[in-house]
Amino acid sequence: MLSYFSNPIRFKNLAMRLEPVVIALTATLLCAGLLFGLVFSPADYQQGDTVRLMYIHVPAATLALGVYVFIAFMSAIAFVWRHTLADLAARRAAPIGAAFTFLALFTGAVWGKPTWGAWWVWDARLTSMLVLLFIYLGYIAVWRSSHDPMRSAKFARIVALVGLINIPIIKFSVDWWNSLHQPASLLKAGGPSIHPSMLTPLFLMMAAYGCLFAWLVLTGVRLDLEKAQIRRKRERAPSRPVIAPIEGAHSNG
Amino acid sequence: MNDLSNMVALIDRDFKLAFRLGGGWFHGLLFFAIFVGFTAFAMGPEKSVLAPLAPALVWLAAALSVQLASADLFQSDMDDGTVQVLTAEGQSLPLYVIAKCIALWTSAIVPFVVATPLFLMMYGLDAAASLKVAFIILIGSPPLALASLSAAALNAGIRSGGLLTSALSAPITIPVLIFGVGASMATLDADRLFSPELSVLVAICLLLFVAAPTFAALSLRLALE
Amino acid sequence: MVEFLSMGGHGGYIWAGYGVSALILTALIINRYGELREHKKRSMIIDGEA
Repeated sequence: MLSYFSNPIRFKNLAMRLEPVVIALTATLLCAGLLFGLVFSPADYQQGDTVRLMYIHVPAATLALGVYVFIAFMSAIAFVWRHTLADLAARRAAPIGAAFTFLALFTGAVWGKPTWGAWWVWDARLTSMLVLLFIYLGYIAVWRSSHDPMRSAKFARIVALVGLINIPIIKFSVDWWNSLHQPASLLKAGGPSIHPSMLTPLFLMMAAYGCLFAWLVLTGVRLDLEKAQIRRKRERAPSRPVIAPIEGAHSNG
Repeated sequence: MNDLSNMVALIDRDFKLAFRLGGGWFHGLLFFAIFVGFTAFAMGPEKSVLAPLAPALVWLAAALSVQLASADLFQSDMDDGTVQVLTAEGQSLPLYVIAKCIALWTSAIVPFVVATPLFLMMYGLDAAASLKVAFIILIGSPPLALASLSAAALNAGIRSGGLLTSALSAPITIPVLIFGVGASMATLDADRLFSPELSVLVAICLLLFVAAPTFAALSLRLALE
Repeated sequence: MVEFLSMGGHGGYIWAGYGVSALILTALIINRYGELREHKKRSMIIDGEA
């Protein structure tokens, strides 16, 4: 399956066909999620309306972790089978993951203020998310460190895989830390059990975020492939009038 | 056999570089002392304030001075061709990394760990507690060194300055700090040396002994390409 | 309407959270559409030459 779609042309055809479906799905899910989250779902009996922040907070946090696992998975594929496509997908995923991580932190802060009375608490989840943001930024910096994308790719794979080892380490260690020093103030999603009326918008928003991520990666990788194609075309026919250099291909790389 | 004698020669060379006139062995110690002095100035002379924070402050000083000492550990060896010659000879790169780590640890880290009880007593801990905390820092110092050494190896290929070194080693340094401080606090609170935190610290240390040289060697190999 | 916007007194927090999320996600999408459009223009020039 993997090697089947690692063919750039096949991937491009697939991406072209999937993109409109995925973006339409994103829009639909997002509208439905917002409608259910902001209007139809009830306010929590303890937290009141602030529980509505959950519908943007939890999807962002889930995707923040999921995207990192995606990057590490793609890096492993690129590491073992040297598939450029996997490198491109990992590179395109990183800024999105960083954005989700930031959003998880930000929405967590505005949720924390009315519920805990503080914008920021040094508890397990928050600290590990902050570290995750640093890992993302470090990973992006590695991609931008060299003018030769092939060279950066090799380092980026290592960094992504080392980072993956770190994720459980961070998670467990801060859980330990938490149990030793701060037993309370763990993030609770609207009480121990979530009512179905709250699960609906939560899952809708999660699916919407996931589809958005899929669309961004699909279009991004397809663009990368097509830009590379144009560059190859230009190099094969150097006598043609020179078109402005594709700055995107370089500065992104 | 060749690998081993190379390792001994490398450690010997790094020692000579560190302990000659103008060598860097006391830089970590000096930084450590400055850090302790600064915190005392910033927080005031109150022993009741300083003593409970002493282990955390000393751990922080240790983590930062290790990063300082290892930031450009491989840079000079890359620039003068040492690494290139060693790989051409078929020297195993993970062993080379371990040799560098041993040299770094004994020449730059042990000096300030030895001085740690003194600083802890200046913060107001008693002698027995100071020795125990210093012992825990001694156990925690190899993982600190291994973490920043892996980042330094990446840095040798990417040359991004210090930004990447601290950003990439932070995720490993943070758990070491958490458990190190936790183990130190446990010795102070419960007056016992061995705590669950200490065993986790040892586990991280052992894990990094295997993982860090492998990854550092991989990064160095890429840097050579 | 006012009642809906005030969200039981927590409107400020909730709309800040939703607003910033919308802002960042829209920025990602608009940025990508811009890249797509620019690329389309370029590849049309190339095809025109060829």
